[in-house]
Amino acid sequence: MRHMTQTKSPLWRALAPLASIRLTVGLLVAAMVLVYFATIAQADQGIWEIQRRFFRSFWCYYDFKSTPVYHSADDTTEPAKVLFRLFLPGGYLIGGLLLINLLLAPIFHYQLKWKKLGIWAIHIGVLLLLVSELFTGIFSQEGKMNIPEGGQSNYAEKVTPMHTEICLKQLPANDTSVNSMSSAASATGRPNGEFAVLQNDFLVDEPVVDPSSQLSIKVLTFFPNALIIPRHTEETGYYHPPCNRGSGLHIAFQPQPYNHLENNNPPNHPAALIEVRDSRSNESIGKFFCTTSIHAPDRFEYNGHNYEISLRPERIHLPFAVQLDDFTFTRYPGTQTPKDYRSEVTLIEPDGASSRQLSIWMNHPLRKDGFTLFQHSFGSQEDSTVLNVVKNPSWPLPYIAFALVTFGLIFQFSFSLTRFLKPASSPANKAS
Amino acid sequence: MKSSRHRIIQLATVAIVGLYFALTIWQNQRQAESSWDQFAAIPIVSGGRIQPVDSYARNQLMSLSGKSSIKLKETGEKLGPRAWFAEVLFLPELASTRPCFRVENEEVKALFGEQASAEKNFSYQQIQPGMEKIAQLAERAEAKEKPQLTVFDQQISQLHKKLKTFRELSQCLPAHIAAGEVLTEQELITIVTANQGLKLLLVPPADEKQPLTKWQNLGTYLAKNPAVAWPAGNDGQTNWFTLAHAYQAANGQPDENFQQCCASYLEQVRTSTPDGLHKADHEFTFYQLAPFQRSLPLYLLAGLIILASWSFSSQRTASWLTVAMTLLTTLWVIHTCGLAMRVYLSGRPPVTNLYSSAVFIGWAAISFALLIESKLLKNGIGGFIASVIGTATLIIAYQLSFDGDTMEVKQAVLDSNFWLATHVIIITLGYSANYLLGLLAITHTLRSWLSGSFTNKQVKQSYQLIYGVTCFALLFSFIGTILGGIWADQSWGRFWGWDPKENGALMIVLWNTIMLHARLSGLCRVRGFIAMGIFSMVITSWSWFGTNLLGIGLHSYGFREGAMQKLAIVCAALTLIAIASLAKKHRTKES
Repeated sequence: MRHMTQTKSPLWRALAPLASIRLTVGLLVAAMVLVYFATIAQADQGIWEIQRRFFRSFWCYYDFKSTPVYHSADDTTEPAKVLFRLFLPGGYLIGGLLLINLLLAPIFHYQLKWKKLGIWAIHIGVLLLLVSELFTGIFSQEGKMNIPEGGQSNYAEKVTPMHTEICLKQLPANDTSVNSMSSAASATGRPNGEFAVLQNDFLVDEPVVDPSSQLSIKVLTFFPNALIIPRHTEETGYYHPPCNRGSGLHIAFQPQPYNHLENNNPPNHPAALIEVRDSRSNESIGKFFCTTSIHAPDRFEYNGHNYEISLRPERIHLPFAVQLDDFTFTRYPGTQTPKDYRSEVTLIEPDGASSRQLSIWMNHPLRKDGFTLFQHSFGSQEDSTVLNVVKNPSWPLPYIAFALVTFGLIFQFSFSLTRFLKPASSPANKAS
Repeated sequence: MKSSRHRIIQLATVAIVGLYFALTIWQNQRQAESSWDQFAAIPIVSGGRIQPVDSYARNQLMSLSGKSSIKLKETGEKLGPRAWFAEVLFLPELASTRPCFRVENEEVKALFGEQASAEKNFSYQQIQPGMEKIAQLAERAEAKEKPQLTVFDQQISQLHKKLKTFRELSQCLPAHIAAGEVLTEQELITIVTANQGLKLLLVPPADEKQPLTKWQNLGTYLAKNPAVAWPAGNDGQTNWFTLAHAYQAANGQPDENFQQCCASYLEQVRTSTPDGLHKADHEFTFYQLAPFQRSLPLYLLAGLIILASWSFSSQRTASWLTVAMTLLTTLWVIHTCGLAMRVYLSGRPPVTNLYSSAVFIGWAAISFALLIESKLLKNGIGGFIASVIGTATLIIAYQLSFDGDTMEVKQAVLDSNFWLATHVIIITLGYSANYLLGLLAITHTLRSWLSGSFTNKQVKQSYQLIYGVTCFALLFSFIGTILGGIWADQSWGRFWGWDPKENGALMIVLWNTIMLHARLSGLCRVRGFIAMGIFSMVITSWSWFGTNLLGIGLHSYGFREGAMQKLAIVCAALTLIAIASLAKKHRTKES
């Protein structure tokens, strides 16, 4: 039922095609095709890679490949060959157009009658779902929190997919502690004296300056993944990093392709050649080779101050700390299949005074201060826990959307159903 | 009058079904396998749950050989799963000569010198010469990246696993130990490893009324109690070694003595874990009844009767339809009872894995179809669709049962009866509704092609019905999919992960939405909508099966030989039918 107006403004005429239900059908078909190819592509690409390439983009492609062939005669395998590259519109393009179409279609085709309440509810609900996925991609933060039994932690690490940060830490003058990672958390979460440069910020040409120490950090080379061995083993295929200070002097490395499957087999350990200068005099303090597989930071002294520099997974700092009191693991008898695993933890507030004891286990997360902590997995010796920490401010959107669309569908279909069950007096064929 | 005749036909049909079940069960009992009943009822703990030897033996044989019995070439006899299993445990040398491994790939056969043979089933002994090479190649295949795996790699990998399972089964019980002999440390380690590899706990707790967690690995038990095993306990207790000796003494035949030992061992175990045993007993009875396997030919029969009834004159049609509908209703009751039994035995809602999803999809679609038939159609079409669905889903379920234990335990993250009862059931109902919609669409097409009396009014009625089912399908699919997202959000903080199963469910929702919007916007009319309805079966099959066969993500259940090809063929055929249904047909009768 087209909403007839006497005079159609130019704007109306221009927008009308975007409100077409045939466009909706076209976009939905495009979405189906995209989802299909994104699914089969997951056979050899990791899920995060797929999300980035197919859904968080305006366009993408899928390669049709031949299957690898094994020849038993000479024990060789012919690798797969790319036969055809299919280009497709990506998630942002289809989603964006759908968003516009979803908004305009009811405006153009349906008046605001209470009878159309169902349609409006469905469309707004679906719109919210699209928006929620968009916001989740932009705002959501997720990291893993590794806590050994008896230990505590107040941060999570973004390891899947791997995001790194370079941490420059100015040590207090009288601090000679070996373990510099146990500093008290500040109100904002990040410990005092730490300056962190995120991966997106250091992969640039310009050096980044730390305002408090006036030292500048520049990444000369970055490797998404590298294998590290002690230099004295002198294996072939490994290179000596061109650093002049720090632990990099004792190791050799071999760049590796980044494991997109994110299955820790093999694990991803980025490495970087970092140059630290005094930003005022441009004097070079040193070139350090840091990697996430070496946890101990490199120390150096400059102008009477002690500093530490390291490359580590990007941290999400929590405004509270979690202490693991006990980790229990129950299996089904006689098998390795996990039946239940749970962490008994103590929540420690930043003032250190108050604390609460509670359990975190499968399907029962801990929610606090906008963060949700889920039981994810555990250390190989089963004496440490791995929690998945998620901060997603847009989390209520799918729930609201679900309620709206379900209400809308039931409202709408009950009309059709009552009409269907009524004895057919007049052919009311047109669907509402 | 008509109604009393109606009644008589109904009662007669129910009686015949009852007779059929009774006869087939009795026949089963008479066959050789029934003398193994005592042995088969003995409970063991495997895969974390208590089950009778019967289930375990059958699942193992099916996963190794792809069949439920072995054909012996020399005598032409069939070796059933219980007899086979007893052989593997108690006389492994003989068992290694039985052809229980299915190998079809030429190159794999070449590894043990059988490339020229037309045989498909080989024994452990026959494969022995190629064992080392197979292990090497399997190791190499495991180390490879997914995209580089060839068909050969996958076959080798599977064969290697099957050979390992067979070895472990033959090593899990040291049946040849003589009285008074003590096992060496090496022998003990072999037994412990074999039992662990099989996830088998053979030793029940000694005390009464103990939980499942008190069952023990045979190897670790023997390490702690070396002298207890032989001979049949000084304290009059029976154990696996008593059974082994009785079996060997009877030359592998289940004679009186063997059956007696089994019975007394069964009683012993009963006192130790009475609750678990209760369930094991019921499981044993359930598999004896085999309601789903027995119903399968009857569903087919019902469909054939309805087809035949349409070619009779209208008087006879009514009677034959009554027979068919009563048959289907009885089968539905049996189907429901079967599902209820599974819920009781597993302690879970009806759908927990691929096998149970097949049975449930069948049940739900049959329920809808029978409902529509009795309330709306009243012409046998609903019944015919019910029989097609019943036959198809039970065949699929039967094929899936070869994957192993259909009542396996659920791992921690899936261990939530609430979500299994809501998200999983509703999504499965969405699948059923889509299959029903597709079959109604195919029926509509066939009627307009073949039937001379498919009037305009009937076309409209059929079209409205299909539209109605589409709305239900969308409702269930959407709610089910979103509930899945909510479960994921509650479980690991991510509402939508674009994983294959989620994507498959999304595609169904998208397709149902496309159907409704295409109709709304005038892009398609009756024929177009019908064609789209047929195609929705393709999308649903992809979502149900295709996504599982990719082997990725949480929902992946493993690779099955040739399953992807079979799925592709079915989907291609359905697509062709959908396209063909668009062809303009002549209608001779206007009314």
